[in-house]
Amino acid sequence: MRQNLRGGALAEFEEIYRSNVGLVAAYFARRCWEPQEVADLTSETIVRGAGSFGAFDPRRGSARAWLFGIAAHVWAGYCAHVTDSRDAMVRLAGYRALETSEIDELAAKIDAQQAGRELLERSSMLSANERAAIELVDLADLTPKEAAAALGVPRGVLRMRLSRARARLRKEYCVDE
Amino acid sequence: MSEFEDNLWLEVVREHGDGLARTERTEHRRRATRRQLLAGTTVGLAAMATSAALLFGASTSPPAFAVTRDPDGTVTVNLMQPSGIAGANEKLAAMGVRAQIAVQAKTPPKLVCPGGTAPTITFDPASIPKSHVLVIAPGQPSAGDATALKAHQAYSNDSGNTGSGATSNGGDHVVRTLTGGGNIRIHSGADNHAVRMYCP
Repeated sequence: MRQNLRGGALAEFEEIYRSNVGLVAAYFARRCWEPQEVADLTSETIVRGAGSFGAFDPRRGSARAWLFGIAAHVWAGYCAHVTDSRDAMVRLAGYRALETSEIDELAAKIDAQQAGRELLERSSMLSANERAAIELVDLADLTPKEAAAALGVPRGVLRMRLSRARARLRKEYCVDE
Repeated sequence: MSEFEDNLWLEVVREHGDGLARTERTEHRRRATRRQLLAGTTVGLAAMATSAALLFGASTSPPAFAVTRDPDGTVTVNLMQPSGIAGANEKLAAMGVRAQIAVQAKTPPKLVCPGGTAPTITFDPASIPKSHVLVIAPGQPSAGDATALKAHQAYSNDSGNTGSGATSNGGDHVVRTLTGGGNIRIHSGADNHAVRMYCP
């Protein structure tokens, strides 16, 4: 059992990192086509998480929910920046360039998220909130409780969005749950 | 862990390792009170014991690591199994030592040197500049050098720049004098620092 001794947060954060970094990278791999982009956005999320880990309160949600909340903010900020100036990569250029093997690795991850990307595309008729609920629960493997925490909404609201989104997708595409 | 994930973790440790090592999460403070009482007993007993290894793995299995504070103030880390990395890091942090072992996918499944000893590194925590963290990354034994493990150490500060070391002369920075071996030095002024982690 980990004790929260002074300085123990590094080991605790490492555990959270190792359990979730793959899911965070997949989250961005469903949105981007460039490995460097996926790497930068994942790095930004993790670095922000490391910087604010002292404020993370597990009573308010799991570490996974907390990290996905950060990832959603990172993505929103990235999109806003792209819309504003079309040079988002400049903003994220503080991160190192990838090695060839890492590019291959992340390109494979992008390919692996093809099905998820298609689901998101098919969900375009849903509201942004409903799409986020579908993605976090059905693609990112968060529990509804974690997804609610990540999106900062009550659990009942999340369940309502999820139910509505699934019903609309089913009606539109005859998708089984 | 993938290579990207391993490298990203190294970056996180370099950039935020010191801050995280100093972090005390607020939500655990109340529970920590009781834990500290219990821990105090443990510490008292430990102080009465020898000053050898400070922390080992489960008593029913061989220890995965040992972190030792030496009489001269240096700290020695013995890593017997990769599973000991997390515990060693936790112990280093608990001791207030700004050093962390970074895990890599290429970490060998067994970190045991010929003769059954564990790869060891000893360093002087006082030589780690403030706001810096020493990163130790064990790797595969290098070809033709079965008694050595490659390790990379890097100092980085909040801006990500290379540290200049604690010594005033700004020259090579002696971290440890190995028994029967040469000095491990961290060279100031270079972006990357490397030492060998010798088998004892």
